[in-house]
Amino acid sequence: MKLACWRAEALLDRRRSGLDEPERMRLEEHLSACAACAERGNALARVVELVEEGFELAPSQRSRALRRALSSRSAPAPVRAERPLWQWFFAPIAVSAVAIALLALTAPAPGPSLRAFAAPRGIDGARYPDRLTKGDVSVDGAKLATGQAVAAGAELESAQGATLRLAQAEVALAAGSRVRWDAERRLVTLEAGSVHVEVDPRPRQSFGVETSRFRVEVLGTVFDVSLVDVSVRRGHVRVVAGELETDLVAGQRWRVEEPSTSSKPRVDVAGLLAQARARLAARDVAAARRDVNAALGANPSATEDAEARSLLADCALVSGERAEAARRYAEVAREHAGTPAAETAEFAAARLESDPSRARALLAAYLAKYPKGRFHEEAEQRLGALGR
Amino acid sequence: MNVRTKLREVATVGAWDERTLAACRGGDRAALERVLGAESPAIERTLSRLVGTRAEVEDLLQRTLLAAIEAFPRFRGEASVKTWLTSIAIRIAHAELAQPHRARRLELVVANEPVVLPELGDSVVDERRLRERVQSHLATLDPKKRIAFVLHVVEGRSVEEVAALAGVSQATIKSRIFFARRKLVKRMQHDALLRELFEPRGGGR
Repeated sequence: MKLACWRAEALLDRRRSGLDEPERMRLEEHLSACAACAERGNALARVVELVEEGFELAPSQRSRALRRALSSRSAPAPVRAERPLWQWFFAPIAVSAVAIALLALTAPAPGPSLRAFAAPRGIDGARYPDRLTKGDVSVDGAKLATGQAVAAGAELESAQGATLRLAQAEVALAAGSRVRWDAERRLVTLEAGSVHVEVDPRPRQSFGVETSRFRVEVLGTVFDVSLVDVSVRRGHVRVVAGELETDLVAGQRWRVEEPSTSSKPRVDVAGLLAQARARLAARDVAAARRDVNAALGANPSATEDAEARSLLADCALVSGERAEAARRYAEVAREHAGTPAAETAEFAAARLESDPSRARALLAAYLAKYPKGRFHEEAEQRLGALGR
Repeated sequence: MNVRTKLREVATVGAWDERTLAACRGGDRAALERVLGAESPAIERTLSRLVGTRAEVEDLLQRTLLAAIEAFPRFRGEASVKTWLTSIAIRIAHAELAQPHRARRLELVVANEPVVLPELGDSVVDERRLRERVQSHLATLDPKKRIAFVLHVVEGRSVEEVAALAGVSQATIKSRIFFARRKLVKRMQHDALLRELFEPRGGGR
């Protein structure tokens, strides 16, 4: 029975996970007769090739992520020990005896210990209930009472100023401030005004304050945040603004760069690289180099850095500086190992090598590292032409 | 090596022994470092196929590891640690992909014009350009559909596995893959730069 196109498409989706022999034959038969499905199949196969490469982080990045995750965690919940069988029989009796004793001892109105027990629980296990401790705060137009719990995800507004207890921090809102509280991430989003924050370091949990332009990550410190700056009074914070990360210690201050009325726009790294590519296509190597160097000086991301350094290699090549180009491609392959850019650069460096024995070695190294790489066919052909 | 030792080894290949897992549940730092450090590379690869930069992958990995550390006391071992971590990573990746600020970055990628150089123009620059272009089209998909497509079509996971990772039915996953593929192929067909992907390679299929 002939395969319908919709069935063929489902089989094409599954090609990577494996088809059995009858499925594969029926699919091949359909593709040989249906040009539209054949084209879609070609395109999907190429998409898989282009996307599946992926990459792993450098060991230092992986360690850093793991270290930060371990530092940010709450204290582990106590593991409940297995109870001996006899306790299952006697425990209810013991509990009842204690309950009777407690009822005899407690006054009709709950004492301080019971009031504390009944207090609202914070997200991490009741040590830090989120609540208003002083001043005026409204949530959706409704005023909170002093001591009242703050709900996770609440948007809080203070006309006169207020102090809140949020997780392990005391957060003071200046008059006219508005914040949003994410209890799960322990993150305050400052939407208007400013806050003064004191974070207790003992729980060893992360706490953050973010605005639309930057984020402050903190572990035990005192600092002030407005919509455009951060100043630290005690301890240590990290400010993250886009790809920029800056550590501040007590006495330091960091401010967002304001757009100036005169000239200089904020550096757009991706735009600079695009402009560099266009200039290189037009053979304006000097201008392309200037754009790339400007991009490199503007804190590019890792991908942008790889792209920029590859472009510098391309500039050298177009200028006829083969040795310089080869050196730069080798640098990209080394600095960005494990990325598609590194594979491209490694092959490019091999192609440029004029000494036959060295070229053989580089091509062989490429094929060893990327046996099913994007350029393996061409690498095989070149190696064959050089005589293996 | 005696039989008992060999069996214990076989039991731990691809899995962690119960003593190590119990230590992780108890918050033992050394055990967590060992287990999560060993499982991270596979997670990084999956994350890198879903998001773009190393900085993003590092950030998402950190969030995944933190969520895993917090949830480890409740991990009962019904699935392997790798599968469990992958499901956490996918949830976190989805939350990130659904952020509105990502749409702004895409415009810059799509607007970039490729450069074709004389000596390297054919294979090297083309591959780079093609990958960026395909990624930019993938990024226009709804995050849930994109994740389903990448996990099944690109990574080759079965529909059953993808459904388990995403916490939805197999029918839902099939539907997401179907619509993701349709939209992706349609966008690629209208992109002059990607026309060559529809041609057979090397004269054959």
